[in-house]
Amino acid sequence: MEKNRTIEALMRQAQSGDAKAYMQVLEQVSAWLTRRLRSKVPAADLPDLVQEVLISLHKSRHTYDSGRPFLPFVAAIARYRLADHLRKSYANQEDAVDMADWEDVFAAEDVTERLHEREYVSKAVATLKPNQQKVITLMYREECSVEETAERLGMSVSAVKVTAHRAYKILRKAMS
Amino acid sequence: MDTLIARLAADGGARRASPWKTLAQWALPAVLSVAALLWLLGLRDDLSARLSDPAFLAELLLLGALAASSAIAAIWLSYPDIRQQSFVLYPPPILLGVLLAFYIWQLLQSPIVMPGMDGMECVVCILMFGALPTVLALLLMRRNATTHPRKGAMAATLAGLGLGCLGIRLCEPQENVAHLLAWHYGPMVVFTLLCVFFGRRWLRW
Repeated sequence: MEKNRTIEALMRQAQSGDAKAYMQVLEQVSAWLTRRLRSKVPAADLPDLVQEVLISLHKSRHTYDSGRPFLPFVAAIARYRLADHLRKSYANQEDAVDMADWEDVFAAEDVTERLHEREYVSKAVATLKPNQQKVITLMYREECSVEETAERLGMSVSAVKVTAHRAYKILRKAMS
Repeated sequence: MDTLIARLAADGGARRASPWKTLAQWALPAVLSVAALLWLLGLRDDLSARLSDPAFLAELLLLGALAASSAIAAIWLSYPDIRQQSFVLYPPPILLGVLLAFYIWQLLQSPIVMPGMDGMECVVCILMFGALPTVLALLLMRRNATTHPRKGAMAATLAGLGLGCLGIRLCEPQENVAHLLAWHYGPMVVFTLLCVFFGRRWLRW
Protein backbone atom coordinates (compact mmCIF):
# COMPACT_ATOMS: atom_id res chain seq x y z
CA MET A 1 0.00 0.00 0.00
CA GLU A 2 2.89 2.34 0.88
CA LYS A 3 4.38 1.68 -2.54
CA ASN A 4 0.99 2.41 -4.15
CA ARG A 5 0.76 5.78 -2.42
CA THR A 6 4.28 6.53 -3.62
CA ILE A 7 3.21 5.75 -7.19
CA GLU A 8 0.23 8.09 -6.87
CA ALA A 9 2.37 10.90 -5.48
CA LEU A 10 4.92 10.31 -8.23
CA MET A 11 2.20 10.32 -10.89
CA ARG A 12 0.87 13.60 -9.53
CA GLN A 13 4.36 15.09 -9.94
CA ALA A 14 4.70 13.49 -13.35
CA GLN A 15 1.46 15.10 -14.53
CA SER A 16 2.90 18.45 -13.47
CA GLY A 17 5.81 17.87 -15.86
CA ASP A 18 8.41 16.15 -13.63
CA ALA A 19 10.14 13.77 -16.08
CA LYS A 20 12.18 12.05 -13.36
CA ALA A 21 9.05 11.22 -11.35
CA TYR A 22 7.39 9.92 -14.51
CA MET A 23 10.36 7.65 -15.23
CA GLN A 24 10.08 6.18 -11.72
CA VAL A 25 6.34 5.62 -12.27
CA LEU A 26 6.98 3.80 -15.54
CA GLU A 27 9.72 1.63 -14.01
CA GLN A 28 7.51 0.60 -11.10
CA VAL A 29 4.55 -0.03 -13.41
CA SER A 30 6.74 -2.08 -15.75
CA ALA A 31 7.85 -4.33 -12.87
CA TRP A 32 4.27 -4.65 -11.61
CA LEU A 33 2.96 -5.53 -15.08
CA THR A 34 5.69 -8.12 -15.63
CA ARG A 35 4.70 -9.87 -12.38
CA ARG A 36 0.95 -9.71 -13.10
CA LEU A 37 1.02 -10.70 -16.77
CA ARG A 38 3.64 -13.43 -16.52
CA SER A 39 1.05 -16.16 -15.95
CA LYS A 40 -1.29 -14.92 -18.68
CA VAL A 41 0.87 -14.94 -21.83
CA PRO A 42 3.84 -16.98 -23.11
CA ALA A 43 7.23 -15.72 -21.90
CA ALA A 44 8.21 -14.70 -25.44
CA ASP A 45 5.19 -12.36 -25.69
CA LEU A 46 5.54 -10.77 -22.26
CA PRO A 47 7.98 -7.94 -23.09
CA ASP A 48 5.91 -6.84 -26.12
CA LEU A 49 2.72 -6.83 -24.09
CA VAL A 50 4.30 -4.86 -21.24
CA GLN A 51 5.58 -2.31 -23.77
CA GLU A 52 2.12 -2.01 -25.35
CA VAL A 53 0.58 -1.34 -21.95
CA LEU A 54 3.23 1.27 -21.11
CA ILE A 55 2.64 3.05 -24.41
CA SER A 56 -1.13 2.95 -23.80
CA LEU A 57 -0.59 4.31 -20.29
CA HIS A 58 1.48 7.12 -21.78
CA LYS A 59 -1.23 7.95 -24.35
CA SER A 60 -3.94 8.01 -21.71
CA ARG A 61 -2.01 9.66 -18.85
CA HIS A 62 -4.12 12.83 -19.19
CA THR A 63 -7.19 10.82 -18.12
CA TYR A 64 -5.74 9.85 -14.74
CA ASP A 65 -7.12 11.83 -11.84
CA SER A 66 -4.61 11.84 -8.97
CA GLY A 67 -7.46 11.72 -6.46
CA ARG A 68 -8.04 8.07 -7.46
CA PRO A 69 -5.86 5.01 -6.80
CA PHE A 70 -3.38 4.54 -9.63
CA LEU A 71 -3.06 0.77 -9.90
CA PRO A 72 -6.73 0.14 -10.83
CA PHE A 73 -6.21 2.69 -13.61
CA VAL A 74 -3.16 0.76 -14.88
CA ALA A 75 -4.98 -2.58 -14.42
CA ALA A 76 -7.88 -1.41 -16.62
CA ILE A 77 -5.48 -0.52 -19.44
CA ALA A 78 -3.57 -3.79 -18.96
CA ARG A 79 -6.81 -5.83 -19.18
CA TYR A 80 -7.78 -4.04 -22.39
CA ARG A 81 -4.43 -4.60 -24.08
CA LEU A 82 -4.24 -8.19 -22.82
CA ALA A 83 -7.63 -8.91 -24.42
CA ASP A 84 -6.39 -7.35 -27.70
CA HIS A 85 -3.21 -9.40 -27.54
CA LEU A 86 -5.02 -12.68 -26.87
CA ARG A 87 -7.50 -11.96 -29.67
CA LYS A 88 -4.65 -11.37 -32.17
CA SER A 89 -2.71 -14.39 -31.05
CA TYR A 90 -5.78 -16.66 -31.31
CA ALA A 91 -6.43 -15.37 -34.83
CA ASN A 92 -2.78 -16.09 -35.74
CA GLN A 93 -3.07 -19.66 -34.45
CA GLU A 94 -6.12 -20.25 -36.62
CA ASP A 95 -4.13 -18.94 -39.59
CA ALA A 96 -1.83 -21.93 -39.21
CA VAL A 97 -4.13 -24.50 -40.78
CA ASP A 98 -0.94 -26.32 -41.51
CA MET A 99 -1.03 -28.39 -44.64
CA ALA A 100 1.85 -30.40 -43.20
CA ASP A 101 -0.75 -31.83 -40.80
CA TRP A 102 -2.73 -33.10 -43.77
CA GLU A 103 0.38 -34.75 -45.23
CA ASP A 104 0.98 -36.46 -41.94
CA VAL A 105 -2.50 -38.02 -42.16
CA PHE A 106 -2.61 -38.66 -45.88
CA ALA A 107 0.97 -39.52 -46.88
CA ALA A 108 1.62 -42.74 -48.86
CA GLU A 109 4.57 -43.86 -50.90
CA ASP A 110 3.53 -46.31 -53.62
CA VAL A 111 0.61 -46.34 -56.05
CA THR A 112 -1.20 -49.33 -54.58
CA GLU A 113 -0.89 -47.95 -51.12
CA ARG A 114 -2.11 -44.60 -52.40
CA LEU A 115 -5.17 -46.22 -53.98
CA HIS A 116 -6.02 -48.09 -50.78
CA GLU A 117 -5.40 -45.01 -48.77
CA ARG A 118 -7.63 -42.97 -51.07
CA GLU A 119 -10.48 -45.42 -50.55
CA TYR A 120 -9.87 -45.45 -46.82
CA VAL A 121 -9.73 -41.67 -46.66
CA SER A 122 -12.88 -41.36 -48.81
CA LYS A 123 -14.76 -43.57 -46.37
CA ALA A 124 -13.52 -41.47 -43.46
CA VAL A 125 -14.43 -38.23 -45.24
CA ALA A 126 -17.93 -39.58 -45.96
CA THR A 127 -18.57 -39.67 -42.20
CA LEU A 128 -18.00 -35.91 -41.91
CA LYS A 129 -20.74 -33.29 -42.00
CA PRO A 130 -21.60 -31.98 -45.51
CA ASN A 131 -19.84 -28.65 -44.97
CA GLN A 132 -16.72 -30.36 -43.66
CA GLN A 133 -16.71 -32.74 -46.63
CA LYS A 134 -16.88 -29.84 -49.08
CA VAL A 135 -14.01 -28.03 -47.36
CA ILE A 136 -11.82 -31.17 -47.30
CA THR A 137 -12.57 -31.92 -50.96
CA LEU A 138 -11.62 -28.44 -52.08
CA MET A 139 -8.58 -27.97 -49.85
CA TYR A 140 -7.08 -31.47 -50.06
CA ARG A 141 -8.26 -33.02 -53.29
CA GLU A 142 -8.47 -29.90 -55.44
CA GLU A 143 -5.65 -28.14 -53.53
CA CYS A 144 -7.52 -24.87 -53.22
CA SER A 145 -6.24 -22.23 -50.82
CA VAL A 146 -8.30 -21.16 -47.83
CA GLU A 147 -9.41 -18.00 -49.65
CA GLU A 148 -10.41 -19.90 -52.81
CA THR A 149 -12.35 -22.42 -50.74
CA ALA A 150 -14.14 -19.62 -48.90
CA GLU A 151 -15.09 -17.95 -52.16
CA ARG A 152 -16.35 -21.13 -53.77
CA LEU A 153 -18.41 -22.18 -50.79
CA GLY A 154 -19.68 -18.69 -49.93
CA MET A 155 -18.18 -18.90 -46.45
CA SER A 156 -15.91 -16.52 -44.56
CA VAL A 157 -12.18 -17.31 -44.41
CA SER A 158 -12.30 -17.83 -40.64
CA ALA A 159 -15.29 -20.19 -41.00
CA VAL A 160 -13.32 -22.27 -43.52
CA LYS A 161 -10.33 -22.43 -41.17
CA VAL A 162 -12.45 -23.52 -38.22
CA THR A 163 -14.29 -26.11 -40.35
CA ALA A 164 -11.03 -27.48 -41.76
CA HIS A 165 -9.47 -27.67 -38.32
CA ARG A 166 -12.46 -29.57 -36.90
CA ALA A 167 -12.59 -31.93 -39.88
CA TYR A 168 -8.90 -32.63 -39.51
CA LYS A 169 -9.34 -33.55 -35.85
CA ILE A 170 -12.20 -35.92 -36.64
CA LEU A 171 -10.31 -37.58 -39.49
CA ARG A 172 -7.17 -37.95 -37.45
CA LYS A 173 -9.11 -39.61 -34.66
CA ALA A 174 -10.96 -41.86 -37.12
CA MET A 175 -7.78 -43.01 -38.82
CA SER A 176 -5.52 -43.39 -35.79
CA MET B 1 12.29 -1.60 -22.15
CA ASP B 2 14.62 1.00 -20.56
CA THR B 3 14.85 2.83 -23.88
CA LEU B 4 11.09 2.95 -24.16
CA ILE B 5 10.71 4.21 -20.57
CA ALA B 6 13.35 6.92 -21.16
CA ARG B 7 11.62 8.00 -24.38
CA LEU B 8 8.19 8.17 -22.77
CA ALA B 9 9.52 10.04 -19.72
CA ALA B 10 11.15 12.64 -21.98
CA ASP B 11 7.81 13.25 -23.70
CA GLY B 12 6.63 15.51 -20.93
CA GLY B 13 3.49 16.01 -18.84
CA ALA B 14 -0.03 16.09 -20.20
CA ARG B 15 -2.93 18.47 -19.75
CA ARG B 16 -5.50 16.77 -17.54
CA ALA B 17 -8.91 15.94 -19.00
CA SER B 18 -11.81 17.26 -16.92
CA PRO B 19 -14.99 15.20 -17.33
CA TRP B 20 -17.27 18.09 -16.34
CA LYS B 21 -15.66 20.35 -18.90
CA THR B 22 -16.13 17.62 -21.52
CA LEU B 23 -19.77 17.28 -20.48
CA ALA B 24 -20.26 21.01 -20.94
CA GLN B 25 -18.54 20.82 -24.34
CA TRP B 26 -21.12 18.24 -25.33
CA ALA B 27 -24.21 19.70 -23.67
CA LEU B 28 -24.05 23.25 -25.00
CA PRO B 29 -23.77 22.45 -28.74
CA ALA B 30 -26.16 19.51 -28.40
CA VAL B 31 -28.90 21.57 -26.77
CA LEU B 32 -28.32 24.48 -29.17
CA SER B 33 -28.60 22.16 -32.19
CA VAL B 34 -31.90 20.74 -30.91
CA ALA B 35 -33.16 24.26 -30.19
CA ALA B 36 -32.18 25.39 -33.70
CA LEU B 37 -34.03 22.49 -35.33
CA LEU B 38 -37.08 23.16 -33.17
CA TRP B 39 -37.01 26.78 -34.27
CA LEU B 40 -36.86 25.65 -37.92
CA LEU B 41 -39.55 22.97 -37.63
CA GLY B 42 -41.76 24.86 -35.19
CA LEU B 43 -43.18 23.68 -31.87
CA ARG B 44 -46.40 21.66 -31.79
CA ASP B 45 -49.53 23.83 -31.51
CA ASP B 46 -50.88 22.03 -28.48
CA LEU B 47 -47.63 22.14 -26.50
CA SER B 48 -48.81 24.48 -23.73
CA ALA B 49 -51.93 22.33 -23.22
CA ARG B 50 -49.93 19.11 -23.24
CA LEU B 51 -47.42 20.45 -20.72
CA SER B 52 -50.20 20.57 -18.15
CA ASP B 53 -50.58 16.77 -18.57
CA PRO B 54 -48.38 15.14 -15.87
CA ALA B 55 -47.76 12.03 -18.01
CA PHE B 56 -46.47 14.10 -20.94
CA LEU B 57 -44.31 16.23 -18.68
CA ALA B 58 -42.93 13.11 -17.02
CA GLU B 59 -42.09 11.67 -20.44
CA LEU B 60 -40.19 14.82 -21.43
CA LEU B 61 -38.29 14.83 -18.13
CA LEU B 62 -37.47 11.13 -18.52
CA LEU B 63 -36.14 11.72 -22.04
CA GLY B 64 -34.03 14.65 -20.84
CA ALA B 65 -32.70 12.59 -17.94
CA LEU B 66 -31.97 9.68 -20.31
CA ALA B 67 -29.98 11.92 -22.65
CA ALA B 68 -28.07 13.56 -19.78
CA SER B 69 -27.28 10.32 -17.92
CA SER B 70 -26.21 8.62 -21.17
CA ALA B 71 -23.90 11.53 -21.97
CA ILE B 72 -22.36 11.25 -18.50
CA ALA B 73 -21.98 7.49 -18.94
CA ALA B 74 -20.33 8.00 -22.36
CA ILE B 75 -17.84 10.55 -21.00
CA TRP B 76 -17.03 8.44 -17.95
CA LEU B 77 -16.59 5.40 -20.21
CA SER B 78 -13.99 7.36 -22.20
CA TYR B 79 -11.68 6.99 -19.18
CA PRO B 80 -9.84 3.64 -19.01
CA ASP B 81 -11.05 2.94 -15.45
CA ILE B 82 -14.45 4.71 -15.84
CA ARG B 83 -13.00 7.10 -13.22
CA GLN B 84 -13.55 4.19 -10.80
CA GLN B 85 -17.21 5.29 -10.65
CA SER B 86 -18.96 2.56 -12.61
CA PHE B 87 -22.26 3.37 -10.86
CA VAL B 88 -22.79 6.02 -13.59
CA LEU B 89 -23.54 3.16 -16.00
CA TYR B 90 -26.77 2.18 -14.21
CA PRO B 91 -29.10 5.17 -14.75
CA PRO B 92 -29.40 5.01 -18.60
CA PRO B 93 -30.73 1.42 -18.87
CA ILE B 94 -32.96 1.99 -15.83
CA LEU B 95 -34.46 5.18 -17.29
CA LEU B 96 -34.88 3.55 -20.71
CA GLY B 97 -36.57 0.58 -19.06
CA VAL B 98 -38.96 2.84 -17.14
CA LEU B 99 -39.84 4.77 -20.30
CA LEU B 100 -40.50 1.65 -22.37
CA ALA B 101 -42.37 -0.06 -19.53
CA PHE B 102 -44.60 3.00 -19.12
CA TYR B 103 -45.54 3.01 -22.80
CA ILE B 104 -46.02 -0.73 -23.05
CA TRP B 105 -48.29 -0.53 -20.00
CA GLN B 106 -50.27 2.30 -21.66
CA LEU B 107 -50.49 0.26 -24.86
CA LEU B 108 -52.03 -2.64 -22.98
CA GLN B 109 -54.54 -0.41 -21.19
CA SER B 110 -56.44 0.76 -24.25
CA PRO B 111 -57.37 -0.51 -27.74
CA ILE B 112 -54.31 -0.62 -29.98
CA VAL B 113 -54.41 1.68 -33.00
CA MET B 114 -51.92 0.24 -35.48
CA PRO B 115 -49.32 2.78 -36.60
CA GLY B 116 -49.09 3.68 -40.28
CA MET B 117 -45.98 3.41 -42.43
CA ASP B 118 -45.66 7.21 -42.51
CA GLY B 119 -43.68 6.83 -39.29
CA MET B 120 -40.44 6.66 -41.32
CA GLU B 121 -40.50 10.46 -41.35
CA CYS B 122 -40.32 10.36 -37.56
CA VAL B 123 -37.24 8.13 -37.68
CA VAL B 124 -35.54 10.55 -40.08
CA CYS B 125 -36.50 13.46 -37.83
CA ILE B 126 -35.10 11.74 -34.73
CA LEU B 127 -31.87 11.01 -36.58
CA MET B 128 -31.68 14.66 -37.68
CA PHE B 129 -32.09 15.86 -34.09
CA GLY B 130 -29.75 13.21 -32.71
CA ALA B 131 -26.97 13.11 -35.31
CA LEU B 132 -24.90 16.07 -34.12
CA PRO B 133 -25.09 15.22 -30.40
CA THR B 134 -24.13 11.58 -31.15
CA VAL B 135 -21.19 12.46 -33.40
CA LEU B 136 -20.02 15.12 -30.95
CA ALA B 137 -20.13 12.65 -28.05
CA LEU B 138 -18.08 10.14 -30.03
CA LEU B 139 -15.51 12.78 -31.04
CA LEU B 140 -15.13 13.92 -27.43
CA MET B 141 -14.71 10.29 -26.35
CA ARG B 142 -11.94 9.78 -28.89
CA ARG B 143 -9.85 12.45 -27.14
CA ASN B 144 -9.61 10.12 -24.16
CA ALA B 145 -8.94 6.38 -23.95
CA THR B 146 -11.88 4.06 -23.52
CA THR B 147 -11.42 0.43 -22.58
CA HIS B 148 -15.14 -0.23 -23.17
CA PRO B 149 -15.63 0.89 -26.78
CA ARG B 150 -18.92 -0.94 -27.36
CA LYS B 151 -20.59 0.34 -24.20
CA GLY B 152 -19.18 3.78 -24.93
CA ALA B 153 -20.64 3.82 -28.45
CA MET B 154 -24.02 2.69 -27.08
CA ALA B 155 -24.02 5.40 -24.41
CA ALA B 156 -23.05 8.12 -26.91
CA THR B 157 -25.78 7.00 -29.33
CA LEU B 158 -28.41 6.84 -26.59
CA ALA B 159 -27.45 10.36 -25.48
CA GLY B 160 -27.92 11.70 -29.02
CA LEU B 161 -31.08 9.78 -29.87
CA GLY B 162 -32.56 10.54 -26.44
CA LEU B 163 -32.30 14.20 -27.37
CA GLY B 164 -33.70 13.27 -30.79
CA CYS B 165 -36.80 11.70 -29.26
CA LEU B 166 -37.20 14.69 -26.94
CA GLY B 167 -36.98 17.06 -29.90
CA ILE B 168 -39.59 15.27 -31.95
CA ARG B 169 -42.00 15.09 -29.00
CA LEU B 170 -41.85 18.87 -28.83
CA CYS B 171 -42.71 19.37 -32.50
CA GLU B 172 -44.91 16.45 -33.55
CA PRO B 173 -48.46 16.28 -32.17
CA GLN B 174 -48.65 12.49 -31.94
CA GLU B 175 -50.30 10.63 -29.09
CA ASN B 176 -50.81 7.16 -30.58
CA VAL B 177 -48.86 4.96 -28.17
CA ALA B 178 -48.29 2.26 -30.79
CA HIS B 179 -46.82 4.88 -33.12
CA LEU B 180 -44.49 6.17 -30.39
CA LEU B 181 -43.24 2.68 -29.64
CA ALA B 182 -42.90 1.63 -33.31
CA TRP B 183 -41.41 4.80 -34.76
CA HIS B 184 -39.79 6.71 -31.88
CA TYR B 185 -38.56 4.48 -29.08
CA GLY B 186 -38.20 1.27 -31.09
CA PRO B 187 -35.77 2.83 -33.62
CA MET B 188 -33.92 4.58 -30.77
CA VAL B 189 -33.25 1.18 -29.16
CA VAL B 190 -32.41 -0.51 -32.47
CA PHE B 191 -29.90 2.17 -33.55
CA THR B 192 -28.32 2.15 -30.10
CA LEU B 193 -27.83 -1.61 -30.28
CA LEU B 194 -26.48 -1.40 -33.85
CA CYS B 195 -23.77 1.00 -32.70
CA VAL B 196 -22.30 -1.79 -30.57
CA PHE B 197 -20.82 -3.21 -33.78
CA PHE B 198 -19.01 0.01 -34.62
CA GLY B 199 -17.79 0.95 -31.16
CA ARG B 200 -14.45 -0.81 -31.39
CA ARG B 201 -13.64 0.81 -34.74
CA TRP B 202 -14.86 4.30 -33.90
CA LEU B 203 -13.19 4.51 -30.49
CA ARG B 204 -9.87 2.85 -31.25
CA TRP B 205 -6.76 4.42 -29.63
